[in-house]
Amino acid sequence: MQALAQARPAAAFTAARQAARRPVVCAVQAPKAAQKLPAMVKPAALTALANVIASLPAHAETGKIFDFNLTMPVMAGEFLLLMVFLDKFWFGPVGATLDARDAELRAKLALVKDNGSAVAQLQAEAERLISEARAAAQKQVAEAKAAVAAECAKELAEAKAKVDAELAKALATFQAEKDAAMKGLGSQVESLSADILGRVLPEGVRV
Amino acid sequence: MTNICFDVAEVSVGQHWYWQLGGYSLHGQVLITSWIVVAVIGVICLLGTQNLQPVSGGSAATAPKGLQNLTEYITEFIRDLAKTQIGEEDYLKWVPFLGTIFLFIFVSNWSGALIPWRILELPNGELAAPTNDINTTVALALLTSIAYFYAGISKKGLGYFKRYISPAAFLLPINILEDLTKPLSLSFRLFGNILADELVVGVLVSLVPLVVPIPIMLLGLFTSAIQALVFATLAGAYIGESVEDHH
Repeated sequence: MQALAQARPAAAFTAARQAARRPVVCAVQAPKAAQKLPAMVKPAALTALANVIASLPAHAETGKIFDFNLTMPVMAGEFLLLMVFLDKFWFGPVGATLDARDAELRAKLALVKDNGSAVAQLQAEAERLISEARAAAQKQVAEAKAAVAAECAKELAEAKAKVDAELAKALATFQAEKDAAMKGLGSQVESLSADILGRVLPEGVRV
Repeated sequence: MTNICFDVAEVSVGQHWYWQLGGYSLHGQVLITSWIVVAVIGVICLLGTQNLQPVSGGSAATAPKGLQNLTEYITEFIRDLAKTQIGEEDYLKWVPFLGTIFLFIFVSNWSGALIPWRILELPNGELAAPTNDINTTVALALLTSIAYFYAGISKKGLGYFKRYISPAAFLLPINILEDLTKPLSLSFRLFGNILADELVVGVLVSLVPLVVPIPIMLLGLFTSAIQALVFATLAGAYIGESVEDHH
């Protein structure tokens, strides 16, 4: 095709050159010039056409941008398959996750938000329980204290009684000894005074 | 060295690697890149949805970590888009459709811009974003059309067709025309943006391969992301329009 295309301009060129020479020759033969003009048109046209054909790229087909063919339904089918796949594996599961998280957060918020009165109630309840517990505890402490005090007092009284008894006994003993000593003292005093008188007074004097 | 650069930078417009199936031809390069896009989306999906946990060991809800965070973010984003466009009642069942539209277009566009496809040489044509082919964008636009028709008819039955004569009967031809222009505009907007960006980058790279194309590439990343968003938003808007009650 390329060789043919190249051959054509060559042939056409030589034909054209010959045709171009003819007017020079025919200038002399004026009457024949009118006849030769139509004959020149054909080779000139051939030259032009040959040049145009030769300027086309030899190997490429004409480029087609708007080339509709089976590709269109195939792409549509691919798209639909992709859509089903993504619905099953992406938008379905991820959407469910988003919704689950959303519901959970809303539930928590609701729980925290509109139970203000319940919270106050719970607080009052808690305080009551605390005061009750405190009272019970105090009562128990008081009871325990009283019990311990009573026991202490009892033991103290016992000990005191014991000590008193011992003291009384000791005093009695002391008193008895004192009396005994006093008595002994009386007799000793008499003997001692007789002795002293006997020493002091001259001989022969009597009391 | 420059020779290799210019070889790699060559732009071919409208050249396709034709495959034959039955009596029909297919654009092989579009199918290959679309399979890679689907694989990327599938991998992100499977990795990001393992071991989903709204609650941790105790009773406290925990913030998600890692890839699950990404998948949750994207899901929330699409849900929000759907809710804004379609309304509170019906939006949940359209989330997969809108989400797939957004993800497919986004990943296609960015894969076309970021992955060095020219390393792999094809017998004819070159690998590029699958959305630079008119077949892909028209397929997506037609699916969107079918989707909003389905939405309207499944919600309102045959009363759906009353909207052609609302608010006034003389608007019937305009409303019918609207049903033709919606998919047309959707497909051409996306196709034009992506193909034009690729062509501009390709031409710039074939002229000055080094630093100059970079701003256009960054702009391309931005606009292609916007195009994904716009397509998904418009799809949502059309569906929303079909299911809404009378004002």
